[in-house]
Amino acid sequence: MRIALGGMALAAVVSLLYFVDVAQRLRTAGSQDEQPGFAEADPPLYEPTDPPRRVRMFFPARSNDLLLRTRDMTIFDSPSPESRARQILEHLLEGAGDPLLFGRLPDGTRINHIFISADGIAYVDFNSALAENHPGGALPEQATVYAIVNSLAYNLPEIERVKILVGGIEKETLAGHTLLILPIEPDLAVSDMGPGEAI
Amino acid sequence: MVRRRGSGSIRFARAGALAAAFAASFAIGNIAVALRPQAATPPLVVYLEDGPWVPMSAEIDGIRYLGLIDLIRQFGLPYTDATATGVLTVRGPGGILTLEREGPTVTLDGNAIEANLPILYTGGDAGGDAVGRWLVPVEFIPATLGPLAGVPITMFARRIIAGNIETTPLEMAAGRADGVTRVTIRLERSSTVRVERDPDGGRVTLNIDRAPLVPQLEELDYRDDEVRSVAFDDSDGRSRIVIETTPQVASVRLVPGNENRTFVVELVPAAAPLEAVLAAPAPAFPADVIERVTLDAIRVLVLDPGHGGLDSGTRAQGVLEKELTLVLARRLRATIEERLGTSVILTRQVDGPLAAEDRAAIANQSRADLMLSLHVGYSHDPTESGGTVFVMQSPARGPSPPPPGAGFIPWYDAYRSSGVASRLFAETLRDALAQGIPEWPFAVRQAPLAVLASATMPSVMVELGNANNPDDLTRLSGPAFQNRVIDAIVEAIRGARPPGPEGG
Repeated sequence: MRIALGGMALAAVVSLLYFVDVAQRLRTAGSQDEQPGFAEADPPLYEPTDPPRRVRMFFPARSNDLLLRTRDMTIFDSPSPESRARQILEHLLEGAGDPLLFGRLPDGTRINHIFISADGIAYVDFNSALAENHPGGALPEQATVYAIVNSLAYNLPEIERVKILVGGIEKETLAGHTLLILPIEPDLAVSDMGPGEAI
Repeated sequence: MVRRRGSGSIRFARAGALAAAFAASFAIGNIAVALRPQAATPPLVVYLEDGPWVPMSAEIDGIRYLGLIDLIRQFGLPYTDATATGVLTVRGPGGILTLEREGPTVTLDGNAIEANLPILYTGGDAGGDAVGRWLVPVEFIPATLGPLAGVPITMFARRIIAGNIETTPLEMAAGRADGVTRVTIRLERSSTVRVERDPDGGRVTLNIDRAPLVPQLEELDYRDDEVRSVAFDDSDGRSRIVIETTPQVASVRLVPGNENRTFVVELVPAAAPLEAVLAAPAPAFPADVIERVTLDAIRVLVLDPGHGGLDSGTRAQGVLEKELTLVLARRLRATIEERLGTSVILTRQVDGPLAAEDRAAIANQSRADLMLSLHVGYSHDPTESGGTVFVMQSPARGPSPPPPGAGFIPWYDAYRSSGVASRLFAETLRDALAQGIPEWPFAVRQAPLAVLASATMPSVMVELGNANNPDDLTRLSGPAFQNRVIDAIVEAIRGARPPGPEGG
């Protein structure tokens, strides 16, 4: 009888420990699910079979005299124009490197979403860092906006104009100067492909 | 002419052009009533060629009556009032008007006027003398008295204009931006406006030296933290706009413009902390440059201190662009008003948020001749310095601009109506800055700038220096360099001319 009781007590303790362990493991697994590393991965921007393609990127220049400097880079020619647009913008966010020649887009900027309408307007939604971390000044702001607009519209025939959204909403300006209410057409005159001064 | 009497009324059958003017007619009734000064609102005002006149009146059964003898005297018509027979006879260029107490009839040149408006006979009780013996409704003036006296009569709401008197349309508008309420009044003719403030501060009165005014609205449907009501008042024949204010209002400022046809009243709340910063002395200037601008110069200038509120603009070493632009704008305003006599309106007077389109709206509503937006620059290269004058560039080619004089202009296309003038002023300003600050390069550029897009007048934005260039920032923060900037801008405005009509 004692042995039987002792055995039952042992079984209960083991069961409890097992239960606690399982619960702990479940909790751990749950919290791991919330970590970005375990989130469902974005679909790939291109397939291994997509051919490479040269694109002309427009980066903010370090000097205000010349707002944009161009540099050729490579993307993969995905059939989806949104994927190609995203590859171009990822290049832009990474920057062109050489800090003596190039400025940068605001730190922490990420692309939330891209949608290209049938009438050639690309709606590009950035996170709020694009506006909040912008250093200001009308010329750097113009450079930021046209780096995005020119890089997309110059390389993708599906895009004629670009409407920039910030944090999912329309903003009047990015940093108090450039009008974002209307979709913007590319302007090569502010880059090293055109005259530095428009007038 | 046929006269036919029948059951208390006589048909009016007089031929000729004058007959049409007497279309309305009156029946006479006997009553005892007293005339009083008009206590009811709104009072009726009769504008005669000699000046305004506020008649006494009596309200009976919802109809407002005036003393006929009083009216006849004001119109300068000879009359006979026979109390024994109860017959009033009035003579005028339009004929002879007869009113018979016992008729009851009203006849003109012996022809009866068909009755559909009542005339009252009081037997002289009203008004204490003959003035109140005969009472006529207000409509009697345009229908009968005007044609009788040969005087054209026009009625605007409760105003009767008797004679060939020039009337002036009046528009009022009110709005609030950046903590300041602005009441804008627009008159079709140049006028003088004098501001009075009640000692207790609860009322601001704008006395206008012109009458009669024909207001688009008698009262604005507007209230905010500073304003309880805005109403036009000419109840005594003198034109004024009464603004009932709250204790929030610390000071009142009148900015005339557009050849004294537009006036902006700024109701400014208690002083902002920046006031202390602005106590800095105004820039010195030689006495011989003090002069009033001629009429072909800029009369109303809108200065827009860039950024504000949460939008600080660019920043470096603890200096915020929004503060620097406000200091510059306020000093610039004082100097421009003193040296040029130009009226200057600031889009914001304190540190507060203000959307770009609201800035343009302030300039549009003020009918400004020019808008200048003040900013400080930034460069990824901290060794760069200098400045840029911007004019608007469309963000898209879009459809062709509307032709000049088109009734409707899309909001973000307003700048197109003065694109050439904007560019000319931008070049004038660049040259003045380059001359005043030769150590800095200045350029004119185009950009799709929100603050300029909706401005209906020539408008430019200027960026001064680069905030992240320590040398630029030190200089811009000091009054000596600010004076040089201010001098250059004043010279550019002195040389500017308001635009004529443009082809877009």
